[in-house]
Amino acid sequence: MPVSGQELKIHTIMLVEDHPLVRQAIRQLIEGEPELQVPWVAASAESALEQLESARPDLVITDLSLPGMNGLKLIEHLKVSHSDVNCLVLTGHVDAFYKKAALAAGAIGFVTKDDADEVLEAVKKALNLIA
Amino acid sequence: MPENPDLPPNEMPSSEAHHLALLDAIDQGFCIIELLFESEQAVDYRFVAVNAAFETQAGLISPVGKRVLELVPGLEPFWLEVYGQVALSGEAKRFENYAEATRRWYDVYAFRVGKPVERQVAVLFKDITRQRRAELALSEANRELEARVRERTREVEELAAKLTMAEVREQARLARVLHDDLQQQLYAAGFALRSLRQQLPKGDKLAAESLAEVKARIDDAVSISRDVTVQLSPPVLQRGGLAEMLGWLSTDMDTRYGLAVRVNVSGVGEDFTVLNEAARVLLFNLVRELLFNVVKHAGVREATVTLARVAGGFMVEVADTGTGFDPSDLGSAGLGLSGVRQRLELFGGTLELSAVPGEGTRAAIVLPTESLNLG
Repeated sequence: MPVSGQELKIHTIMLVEDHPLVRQAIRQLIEGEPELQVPWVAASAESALEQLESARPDLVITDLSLPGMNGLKLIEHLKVSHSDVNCLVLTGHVDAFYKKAALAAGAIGFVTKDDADEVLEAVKKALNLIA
Repeated sequence: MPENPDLPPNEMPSSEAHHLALLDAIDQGFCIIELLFESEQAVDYRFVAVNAAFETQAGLISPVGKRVLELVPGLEPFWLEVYGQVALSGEAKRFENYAEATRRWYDVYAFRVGKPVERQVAVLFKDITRQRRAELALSEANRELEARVRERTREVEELAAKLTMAEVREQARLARVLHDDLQQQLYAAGFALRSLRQQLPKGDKLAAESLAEVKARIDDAVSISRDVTVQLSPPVLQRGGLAEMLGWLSTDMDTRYGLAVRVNVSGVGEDFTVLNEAARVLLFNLVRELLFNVVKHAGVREATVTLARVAGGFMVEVADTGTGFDPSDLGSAGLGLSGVRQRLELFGGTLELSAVPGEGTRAAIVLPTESLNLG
């Protein structure tokens, strides 16, 4: 929480999620926190990459199952093309295999869609807002 | 045999008369021929005597006194050769052969008669053309039937493969609906509940409890949906990468059963893909079944899955160093593999199981390239 008189630092996020309902729900969840904003959303990895040519988010949150290029490939791509941008995986896949694969690809964190509180905690950890 | 009705019967020895009567009574043709040689090679023969059935059986009219090459100029050399051998060696011969000139098949028994220097051979024979034609027709009918059965079998196999693929596609479709639609709806509902919870008046315990109960039901629904998705068609199968699929299986086996599975794909590379969806699912199910068998029977907590290229296709091998089994004790049905093996055969694949009690088990699946649209 900002100290009185100080400006609140806003952290920007790009959300990559193909299901419109989930995308809207996650965006609303995150933007419910005063220090977080989601100025960019993409329904595919390709759209995300296109937007990242000009966008400079503090964090990219991506699903794994995406039409076209999947989330793992997107993370690998960003490790090369946008190495200063951290990626957090937000997925419905709970298998340990996917967590291992996501972290190996270069994701900074892995959280499932099951619990909204856990999602917010993971987002804040990824932005170094909490320990 | 020549008849001489003017000769009083009492001038012929009775045994000879009997023999002549017998020869004239039989259905088979009989003749005595005299072989003609040039430099010890039979070049022709003359008919010395024939029985009553000769003309019917041989198709030759009034042959006595004539040479065979006069009557049948195109006679194959075979007949002269074989009768010549009988005449020279005295060794009787029994055979069947076809005479092009008369277009008949004959069953023949030839033996030397009289003194060797007379070079005479008796030939007892029967026209078996009708039988032979019937045998050939039967053989042809069998061949045609076998071809039809093969064709029909192929059609049935193709239909079974199509049904298998239809089943696989339907399962994959249902899995996609569950994962892409139902589960996502449930996640969105879960997020909306949090928002609702934050709007509840502080201290409203009843409402908070009710919301928690709804969230628990949503969580259960998600869990059930995930389980069904994995049973129908695990999401990892959608993409086709064989290495990724085996990696997923390895992690799943470790998580569920504590089985450490080492996956070796160095033989084919990480990007190896099976494009044929039904084959991909089949392979997945088969490897999963084999790993279950390690869990259930091997008595060890480690297994190795190896992917390698072989001539004409590739091989997936599942091996352990556990208790093994005597392959003669357990048929593949006993290992839960009978249905999968049948489906494997639809793709031209094979499954080899080898095991030695106390030394471990090895299962090698080989699949041909052309049936799998390998990437």
